[in-house]
Amino acid sequence: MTVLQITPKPEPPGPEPAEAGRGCCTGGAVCGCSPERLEDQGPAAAVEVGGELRTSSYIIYVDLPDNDSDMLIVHGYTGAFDKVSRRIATFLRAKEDRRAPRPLYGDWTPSPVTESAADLPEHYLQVLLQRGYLTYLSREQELERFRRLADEMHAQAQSPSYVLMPTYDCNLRCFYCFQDHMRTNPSFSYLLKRMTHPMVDRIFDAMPNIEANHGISQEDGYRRPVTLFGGEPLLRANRDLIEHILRRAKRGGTDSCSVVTNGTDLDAYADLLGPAGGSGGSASRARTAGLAALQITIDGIPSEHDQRRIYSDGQGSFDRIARNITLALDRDATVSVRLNIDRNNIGQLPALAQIFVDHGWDERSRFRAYATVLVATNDKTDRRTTFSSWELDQELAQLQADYPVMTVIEPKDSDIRRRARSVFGGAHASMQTTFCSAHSGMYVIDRFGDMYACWERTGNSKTRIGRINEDSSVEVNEPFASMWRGRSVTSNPVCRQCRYALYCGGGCAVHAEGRKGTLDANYCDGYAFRFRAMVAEAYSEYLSGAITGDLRQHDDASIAMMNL
Amino acid sequence: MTDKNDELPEIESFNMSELDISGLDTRLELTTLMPEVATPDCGPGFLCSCFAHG
Repeated sequence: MTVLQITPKPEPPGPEPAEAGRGCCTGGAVCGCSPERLEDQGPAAAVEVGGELRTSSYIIYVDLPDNDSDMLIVHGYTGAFDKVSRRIATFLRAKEDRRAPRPLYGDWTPSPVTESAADLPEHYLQVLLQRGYLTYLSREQELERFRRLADEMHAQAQSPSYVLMPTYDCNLRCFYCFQDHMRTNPSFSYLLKRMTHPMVDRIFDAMPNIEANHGISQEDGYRRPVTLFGGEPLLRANRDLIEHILRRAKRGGTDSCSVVTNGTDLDAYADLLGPAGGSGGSASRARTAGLAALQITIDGIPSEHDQRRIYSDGQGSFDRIARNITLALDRDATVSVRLNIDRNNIGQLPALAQIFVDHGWDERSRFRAYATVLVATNDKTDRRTTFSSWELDQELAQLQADYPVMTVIEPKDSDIRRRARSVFGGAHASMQTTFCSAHSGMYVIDRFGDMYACWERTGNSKTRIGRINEDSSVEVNEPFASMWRGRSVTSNPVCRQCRYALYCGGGCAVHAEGRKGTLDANYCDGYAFRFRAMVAEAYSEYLSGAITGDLRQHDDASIAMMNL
Repeated sequence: MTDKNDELPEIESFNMSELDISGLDTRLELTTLMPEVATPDCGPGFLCSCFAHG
């Protein structure tokens, strides 16, 4: 047996000094992470500890409900998932040079057991070293390793994707809409015109130029992701324009497009629904990409929904949307129903889930419904009625325990659970250096040819990341392009010291800006709680035998389907 | 799918049983072990908490 030498290793190349005074998340009780700062650890922690065995700064401890003997440990940058005895977990915790987060379900022993490495058999130490849980790197050296690794990963994740906004106009007047001012304040009325056919051509002609900037040649056969957004992109009056967009998409090699739509006028697009070659059937269909994946919002049972997703004349929209969801599913389109949930409509979810079942949607493989928090973005939404994501997860878990029909509605965080399921099936962990593609390769392009990184920050040309000129050349607005594209888990000191960073991606930049006044900040939103709860749930499914090779394949297929 | 080892009853590895970063210090060595980055594309299928819009 190999005997592990617990002696200093040769020093790796010296890292840049850690940024003194920069700290971890200030959330603490909110997100469950460790908010200590490097200098708060006292003189001993601030000095170089390279060469001594220590616990990695990036371990996530996932305690398991009703299990006092084992814990899961997850590594924040190697992606390793392991189950360990409490003895080993306590050993690791004792060798942390910052405070380990409070367990989610149980508790740590009152005072850490300060085992020396000699107390743990060397073959355990060897495995813990190999998988990254123990390290000879100092805290600063490991931070530098994390930064380099994440930057390398971020550089790989830059493929362009396109979100076209045919109009900022909409036929609904939902009180909470973040674009509400565009339709109600006359000074924004200039935004409400429809995109022209020449502008569509200009945008598609510019795509090779954008792709060249990402190192993609037209000979590479790059499959362009194209999504439609608005306003409401699929207004009945937009039919000719949308068909032109889908024609241009098809000419560029894109077979299937996605759309975020309110679904009210979907019947006007029946022949364009579904994947390419689907059941659309019209002669023109062979020349257009299909509207293959749709996101449609429903906000409660009909009486509640009709108070929220409302026409300007006061009519409700539930029945029309429900008919169109069935239509889309009949055409083999994927339908992802988003439910904006607050304290006023959460109690209706079991009844709404039953309505989904009554429509037979739950039996359609291309149907999915998920609940997410309603965020107050204007003074028409009372912040006291809103949930945090973690609060909503807890409420949903309780409803799912009480009402079996609720399984038809997923929590937003089911994607964390899905990824964990794959790991328990043997896959590598899926990681991300940013929260979304606003910080990698997404181009949101409006009717003016203005390009934005995020659709929540559109309509103000002063903040665009660039524009498409009449000759389809691309002009970059460097300060804003750099600000958006440069945001990653290493671009702010909180995220780069966070053990969850490569699973969370740093949170939504717009929410971070709302909270801290800058895009380049963390937005934790209870992620530490949410991650551990979902991983523990996935492990419970694994133990029950629900995760098999087949299920893993199903999940992979499901993810692929949703990422059309 | 786990890597159970009779000699290590207190550790059960679920993935990446070949993982060994104990001797790796450089960026390139480490990234060879990494899975692809999966940045979600905004749109249907990305269960986000972006602002709601009508």
